[in-house]
Amino acid sequence: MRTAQAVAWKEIQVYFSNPTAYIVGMMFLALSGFFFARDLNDPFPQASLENFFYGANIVLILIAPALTMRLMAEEQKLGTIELLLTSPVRDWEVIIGKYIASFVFLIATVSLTLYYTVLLYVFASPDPGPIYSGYLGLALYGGAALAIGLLCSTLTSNQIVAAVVAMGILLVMFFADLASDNIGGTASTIISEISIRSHFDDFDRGVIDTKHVVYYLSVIAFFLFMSIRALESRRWR
Amino acid sequence: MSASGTGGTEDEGTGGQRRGDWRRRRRGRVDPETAAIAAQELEENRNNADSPGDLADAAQASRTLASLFEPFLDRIGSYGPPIVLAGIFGLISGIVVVAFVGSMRTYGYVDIVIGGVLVLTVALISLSSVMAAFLSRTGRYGINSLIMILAFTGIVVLINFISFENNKRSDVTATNQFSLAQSTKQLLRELKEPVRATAFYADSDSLGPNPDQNTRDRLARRAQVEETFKEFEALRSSKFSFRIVDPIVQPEIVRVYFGSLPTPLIQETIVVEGLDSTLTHVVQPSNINYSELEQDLYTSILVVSGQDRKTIYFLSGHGERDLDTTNAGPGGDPSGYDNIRAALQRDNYDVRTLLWSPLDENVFVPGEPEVNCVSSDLNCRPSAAMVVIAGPKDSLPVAHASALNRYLLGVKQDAGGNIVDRREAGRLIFLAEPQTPESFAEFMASWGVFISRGYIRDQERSVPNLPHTLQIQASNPVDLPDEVKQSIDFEAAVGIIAPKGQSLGVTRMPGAAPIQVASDPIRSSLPLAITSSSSYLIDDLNRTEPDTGRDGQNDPRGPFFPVYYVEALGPIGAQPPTSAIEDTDITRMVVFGDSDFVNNLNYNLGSGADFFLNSANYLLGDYSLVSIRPKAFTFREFNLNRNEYNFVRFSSWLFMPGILGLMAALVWWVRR
Repeated sequence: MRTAQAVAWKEIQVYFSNPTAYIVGMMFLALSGFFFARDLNDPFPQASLENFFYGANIVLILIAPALTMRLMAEEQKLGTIELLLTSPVRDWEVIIGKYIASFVFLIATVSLTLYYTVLLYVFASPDPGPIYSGYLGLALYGGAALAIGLLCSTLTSNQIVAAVVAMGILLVMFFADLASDNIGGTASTIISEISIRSHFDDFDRGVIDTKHVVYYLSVIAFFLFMSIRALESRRWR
Repeated sequence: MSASGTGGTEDEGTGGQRRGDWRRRRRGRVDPETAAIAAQELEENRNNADSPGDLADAAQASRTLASLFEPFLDRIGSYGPPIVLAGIFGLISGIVVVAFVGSMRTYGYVDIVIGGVLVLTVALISLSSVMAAFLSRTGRYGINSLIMILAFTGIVVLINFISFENNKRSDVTATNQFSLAQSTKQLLRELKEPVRATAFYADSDSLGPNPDQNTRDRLARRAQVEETFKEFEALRSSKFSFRIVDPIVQPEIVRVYFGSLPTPLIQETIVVEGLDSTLTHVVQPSNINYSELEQDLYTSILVVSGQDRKTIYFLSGHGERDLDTTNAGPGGDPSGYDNIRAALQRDNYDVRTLLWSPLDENVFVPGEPEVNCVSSDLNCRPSAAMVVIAGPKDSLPVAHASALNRYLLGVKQDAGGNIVDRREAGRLIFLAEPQTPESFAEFMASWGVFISRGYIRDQERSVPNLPHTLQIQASNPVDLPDEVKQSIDFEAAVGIIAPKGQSLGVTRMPGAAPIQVASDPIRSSLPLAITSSSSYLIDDLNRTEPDTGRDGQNDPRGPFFPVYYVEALGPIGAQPPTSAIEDTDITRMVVFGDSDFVNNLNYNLGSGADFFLNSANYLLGDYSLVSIRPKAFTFREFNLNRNEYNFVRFSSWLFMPGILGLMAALVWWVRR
């Protein structure tokens, strides 16, 4: 695990010393700020972060792949992956380390949106429950999106391809519940449960359900496992 | 399919063609001893043959049956890749069809079988290549990875399945807005059959640029309904499901529940149905803002799942109609109410007799505390959802009138004789007669309902040869006199007269008394039936021709109203309430001027039975079987003045993104 920490620390340094990452974070904040302030002009705006969380769900589909596309694809393109694989680092330590780095950067960026919460407390009296649960859900949702992005980055040496494929997967998972509306029976239930968005609704409302937490953790674990297997396959392909 | 590099040899029988993998494997499996014997036999045949032609025949005869298919299999093998692709496509499309298109499931299975056969055929023809691929180093690692991925996927699916079935929810909102009552959770977990709620909301109810308050309210109610449904459905072990249906887009679903009722009347309606029992119940919100929707849904689920039923008590002990007297057999009584009791039971009501002995002064309508009866006692009588008084012939004692008053007012007497609040005001169906005892008539008059003495003789609409029997048509609210229209309750009119958009037919009432209702601020009423203007009120039952003379003794002329729907906040003289009126404060009653129209004799004649049953259904529609405390909803407003609004907006858009932009510039500058 110490090695994974070292990989993570190295990647975090790369993130924070790279202007591209800041620009990606800036885009996230600009778009989520737009969603937060969207309904303020309504006759009866509500003192909640519901709009922000809804917008952040969409924005993360674009941002998460942008944050992860470089992680493995660049190593493969530059050939440094050979050094990494022959160094005394296990495959899972590489993947976990890089994942932690991207997650830390995402959380750092999301934490800047606490400014919206400050605004709510200054000008109104919001219910803190849905804010806590919303941020918990957003962290889990973002973590799942990053894991998907990391797998795509592991599968190709082209960063653009990695980002586009990750966005495709995220979009399919995001809109899966809409497709399930037109289907009946067990298939509908399965598809709606696969949807990454429908599991966020409860967090947004102020309800923390263990099944949603387990779902997001499962998505993270599954895609990280797939990433490890994909990286490992380079040894015998 | 290529045989090169795997040691393929030429075959005499195929003229030097390259052999398919399957043949090489078949030959390779022949053990040396058998091969030697076969070679010896072939040599013997050669030696015994008289000519080259015989030699060829012998060689041909030595081939196995399978070898006859070799050219055909070779041909198939040469198209291996496209066949495999077609097979995979068949498998995937078949699985998709089976999973998503229920009506084409058979074709999906056929598709899967065809796809499987195609893939398997090519795999068998190229068996050695396939085996080589699996047994190679890459293949072994690949299989190893595949097994690990499948195992991990299985574990993940299993964990999710377990967590879905055993989930725990924590409502972190300040007012526990999304927490169901323990009793509701219990009910949902113990459901024995699937129950589905269908809410009718038009999708066109979108929030435009300048929505009016009604649209906002409607959308808020829809959101409230969906939130509650989600909470009900979130209990995974329950069998509750829901759907939101646009009545304009899916009129066929509307017709299932409401027949030809116009769409505007369907809007915002919620129907709960038991999917096995096919029982349905239309939810009547206790509160227009759906703040008590949990309680309302609870009641509906109880009804459709048959776990609890609304209890109707027929008062007895004052010469009322007997519920158990049948029309059949030697002792049959056509004036009994056996048929209407059975009909109410078919509508899933619990029908009971409430016997009050004339001498018993300690009487009450069930719902008040009973002596020696605790709530867990199965012998306790269920609370009355409605009381029916059908054609009483004897007088009503004062104590009995007092008990009925308490029931109608929605108050009860505790063990100490103190009057305490009851949950809901009462519901009553009163079936009068021209000779209704004075005490009963006085009791009804105290509630503003006047039962006239005498019967209605309608010269236009009486049954031929039966001048006492009215043929009445349910009134059309549009045709009612203007002074009546002022206070009309169209919902009641539709609910009783045309609950599924189908108006009632003719009802036969033998000897009906006209009903009148007092007009005061705490009472509203709606006539449900009307006679023609050629009707008269005759006070002598033996006289069939009205007195239309001008000597001052003539019979009063109609039209009359033999059926009334009445809502009241109290008896005559009660003070109008000063606080907001809840639905549960309102006493509701339907008063018929006749009690014979639903007896065993007339039950099957005309629409009398439907008239009575529709009235019962309407009166009991919003009666709750349970009481669940409504949730407090706090609207936390984010009201800003112009300057604050601009500050919040622009700082949200620019402040935080600006900081990261500056950081990006700084990093770029340093790294430059």
